[in-house]
Amino acid sequence: MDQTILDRVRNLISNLMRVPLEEVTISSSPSTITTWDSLQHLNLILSLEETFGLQFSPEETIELLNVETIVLLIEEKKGA
Amino acid sequence: MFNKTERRERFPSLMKIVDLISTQNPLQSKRIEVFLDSRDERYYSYAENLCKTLERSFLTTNEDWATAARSYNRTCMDLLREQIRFRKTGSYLINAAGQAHNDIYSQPDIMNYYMMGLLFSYLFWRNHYDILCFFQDYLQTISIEKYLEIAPGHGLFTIEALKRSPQIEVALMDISQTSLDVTQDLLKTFNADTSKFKTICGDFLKEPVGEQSMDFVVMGEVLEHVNEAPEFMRRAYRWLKPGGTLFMTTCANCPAFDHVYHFHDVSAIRDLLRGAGFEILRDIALPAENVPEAKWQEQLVTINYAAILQRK
Repeated sequence: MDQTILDRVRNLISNLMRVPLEEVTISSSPSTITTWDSLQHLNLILSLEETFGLQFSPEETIELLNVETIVLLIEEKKGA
Repeated sequence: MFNKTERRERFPSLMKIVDLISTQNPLQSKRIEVFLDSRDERYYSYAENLCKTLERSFLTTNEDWATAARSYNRTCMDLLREQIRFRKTGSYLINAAGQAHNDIYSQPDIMNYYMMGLLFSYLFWRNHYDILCFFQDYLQTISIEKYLEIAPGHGLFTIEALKRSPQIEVALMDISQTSLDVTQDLLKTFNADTSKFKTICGDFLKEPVGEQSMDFVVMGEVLEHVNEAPEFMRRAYRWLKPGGTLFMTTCANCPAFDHVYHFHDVSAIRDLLRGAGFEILRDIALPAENVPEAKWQEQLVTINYAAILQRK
């Protein structure tokens, strides 16, 4: 797994969801981060697209429900 | 206000569907929990009664309940997907009502989960529940003999009208027979004698107008689904007796896979209604997110709107 992508995703989630960075791990999800609700998920998708300069398909946007899945899909899209 | 223990003891049917939804969808789990924390006796009484009714005749097995929860979650995720698309593009997915009719309204599989999902949205979305209360409160102030509902969908408004005035003559019109079938199935769940209802499968813009024949017309979530919204309201006006009233809901900046008429703000909705000849007796505009009104437009916040209109 690309550590740089993981770190950027963790930072982004930490800022957006207002949780300490150390609490955002590879296994974080809406089940473990209280503030990760449907509205914040929408904001997260838009922020990820802007940060990494890529587009998620409509189907992908509703599957990105944990950090690991997010990082793996970004890796795949960027050919990392 | 009820804590979690009290909710489980007093409202077991409601909590059954809440648990299923929450297990399947952690995003919805949180929104529902916050919503339930702020609800009062009126809400819990209504929600539990609705769920109990469904449990008796429509959702009789555990699998039925699981399917209902999946239907709600699928509807929510469909809407979330469209919201994300809308934030990027500023426009709705489709712009032709005919496409929605072919791709969605005539597809029983889609309509079944969509209607069930929307039905539960009136229990778990703050705006939809507030609009339902707005409708219930208005019903307490009027007497009705002849009732027309256009695109009755989940049937909740029809049920409320029948609770208030069991003897009303009901006419239901929808462009989709599939949708009408789903509606009638749901109405039977509430012991409504649908054999007495007049059902019309047809295009509201093409069906003959029953001039000045109705005391009350209901159009819940209709305008955003049609291309010719101004003409739609002008025809609705003609159905009403002088002094008759119409309850309608619609929304601004509210993307969904079958929304075609895009209101950019609430004033555009009000202008259209007044342009059709109606007087707005009362209305409510509810943001879907906790954003100050000054920023609704800039942030493309979905606004749910409901109004009571009167024929002059």
